[in-house]
Amino acid sequence: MSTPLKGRTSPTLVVGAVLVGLVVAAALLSFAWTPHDPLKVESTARLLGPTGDYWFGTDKFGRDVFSQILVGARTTLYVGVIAVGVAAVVGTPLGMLAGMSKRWLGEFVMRVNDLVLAFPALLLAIMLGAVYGASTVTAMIAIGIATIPSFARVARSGTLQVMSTEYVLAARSAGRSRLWIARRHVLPNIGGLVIVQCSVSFAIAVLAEAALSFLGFGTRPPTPSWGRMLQESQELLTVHPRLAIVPGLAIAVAVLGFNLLGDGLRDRLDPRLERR
Amino acid sequence: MIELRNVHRRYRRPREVHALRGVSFAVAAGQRFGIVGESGSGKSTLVRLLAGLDRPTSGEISFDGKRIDALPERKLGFLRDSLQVVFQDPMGSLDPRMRVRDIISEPLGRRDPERVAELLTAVGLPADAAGRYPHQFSGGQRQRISIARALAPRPRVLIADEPVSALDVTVRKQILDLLAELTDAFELTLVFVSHDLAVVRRVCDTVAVMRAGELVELGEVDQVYDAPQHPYTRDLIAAAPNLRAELARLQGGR
Amino acid sequence: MTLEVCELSVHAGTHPLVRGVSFGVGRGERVGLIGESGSGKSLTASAVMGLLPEGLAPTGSAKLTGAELIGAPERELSRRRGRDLAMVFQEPMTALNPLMRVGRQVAESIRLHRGGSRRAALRAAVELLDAVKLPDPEQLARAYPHQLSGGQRQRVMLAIALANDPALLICDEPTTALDVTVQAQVLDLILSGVAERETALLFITHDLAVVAKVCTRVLVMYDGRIVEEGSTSDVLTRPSHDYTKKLLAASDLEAA
Repeated sequence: MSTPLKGRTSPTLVVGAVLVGLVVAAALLSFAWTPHDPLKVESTARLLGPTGDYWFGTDKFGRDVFSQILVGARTTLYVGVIAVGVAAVVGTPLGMLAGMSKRWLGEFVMRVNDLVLAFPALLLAIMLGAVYGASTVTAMIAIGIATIPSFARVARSGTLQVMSTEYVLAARSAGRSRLWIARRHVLPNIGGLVIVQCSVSFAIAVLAEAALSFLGFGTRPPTPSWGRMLQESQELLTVHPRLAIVPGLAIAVAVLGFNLLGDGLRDRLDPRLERR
Repeated sequence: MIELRNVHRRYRRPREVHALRGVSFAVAAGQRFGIVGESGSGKSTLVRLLAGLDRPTSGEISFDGKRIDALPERKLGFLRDSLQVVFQDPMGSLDPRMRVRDIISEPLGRRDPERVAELLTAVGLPADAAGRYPHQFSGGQRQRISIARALAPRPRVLIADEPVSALDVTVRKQILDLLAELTDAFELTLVFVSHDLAVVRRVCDTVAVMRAGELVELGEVDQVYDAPQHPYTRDLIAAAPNLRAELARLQGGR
Repeated sequence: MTLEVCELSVHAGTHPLVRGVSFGVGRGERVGLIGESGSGKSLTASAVMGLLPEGLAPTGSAKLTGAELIGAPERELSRRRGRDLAMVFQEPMTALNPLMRVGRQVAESIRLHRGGSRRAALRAAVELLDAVKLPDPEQLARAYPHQLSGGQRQRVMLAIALANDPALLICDEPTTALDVTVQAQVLDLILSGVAERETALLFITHDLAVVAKVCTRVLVMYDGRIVEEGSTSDVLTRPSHDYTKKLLAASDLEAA
């Protein structure tokens, strides 16, 4: 969509973009190269501190922490993209529908939406895990489903606003159908809101994946995952806090990055493009 | 061309409002019909009813001999092609994310670059305006785009709802003159709704005065303004800020 | 001179929105500031009040009864606002707190600057509401803004503005959003309100007929500058600047 963007590039946006960029760079890099094989168990190199060879040291199995972080970034991003993708693709049209329908129908849809919102993603992930066996995929789907309501909410609120404008009134008086109005007027005008929601939901998805992996309902070993790295660091926390700090920091960077990016984009993609 | 018979419109939500109380009048083809009223007079409701965007609670509305008050949305196609509306807010009535050419061709349902170029010329805008966005234009220019859009399907009736109220004073005359010119050129029937007496006087030949949902006076513009019958009309004319009168007073007092 | 403005400028970054504006308003004088959108008239008023939005910086001077307003610390400005200088805005619905009864809003303004008990302030508030010709002021004081009509809300705004007998009253398009039949009444109230208190009035509008009725002196603004000034009758009946002539011609809809 061609959207004339207004507004200055705020520091929030820049910092957010940089942090997210770091995570993406780490994931991309991991496809081409990692200092060591993150899955390789090296019993002679267990629990080493940071050295020239192992930049963040090794864990209790002798695996390179840095390499695990790099590959773990992939998992984080996969889950984020799929979960948010599912949520946006299902939630946005749902919200638009609710916003364009008769009042009672819109309200009904939003109440169902609230029900889903109230259902904890965690529980859903556990249930899916129990039925299909826990994995990255079940985590993605569970988080995705749990995120749909946020998109529906945002889409609906944006849709209601667009529907009350005079240009939609003009379109109706020109005889344009609902579908046309939805496609040509509503969607482009709520696009900014949806993008911002994507960013924010991504942050939540990252955190959710980490939590699920930490609890054992997400990524199965031996695939590296930041959440699971946290879990594995628990028993040696007092002796080797580094093993918790490093993945914890990685998660924090990703979450912060996406949140800031979302905030920065929100300022930039202001739907009120007029300025006098 | 347009006929209203005892039209009522009641709203339930958010509050009980009796917006139109038994309004009846007729607009002949080719007339320049002004509707004057303040807030709460029902004129905005009237615009929506005439444009088929709303249905009256009771009463009849006919367009070109056909009843439109009882028709479902999908049967109003004939109305949509023959009657178009120019709205008040030059900012809100144009989708900020659409290019001018798409905005103007929207009533046609498809792209038509020739028609768009034709219309841009008719409203006095340069041809390269087609590729730009609304925010790149001034208020007056945006209203011209609105007018171009309204003229796209070659309507027979143009309803202008406070088309110049949100514009700067120096631009108003141009837009009013443009409307008058186009009404003549395309042999349109014009329904001009405004709260501003002077504006209506400039453009219309007939005027209807509304107050609290009722039609209180109807007649030829000069007659109503120079010899108002209804006390409300008299109050309205007396209260309206009149530049000529003020200037005369200032000049007289030296 | 109650208000003395000297070379007042407002910039958004490097872009000038108000350029070197200078004028004065004497005690009891009624000065009109006319111009279209983008002329900078509202920004000039906001600069004097110290209420410019973020990112806009005023330079120059604006002295109210000798004390400088531009660049004064916010604490000092907020003390003076509502007491020495007051403003009536165009859209009363946004200027009044929708969650507070109107009587209380007037009373608060009184208490803030004059002190005294809540009851005394409320009584004074009711008196003021009566003075602005609101019907049944005691009852109306208990109403919320949304329960009042546009004209009534503007009267409440006027009551709040005049509550502490300010030296300067700035009105920014106070009647533009009102019905014509109500406009005349509110304008009369403004006139009597400032006459009674000998308040200096700066009246901003784009409507020449209104300015002709209300003001004795007129300043014409265009593109951030004052392009013409003088007595109302001089400027409007014998305009010298091209823009003033253009404005007059455009406002006269009866002409060709």
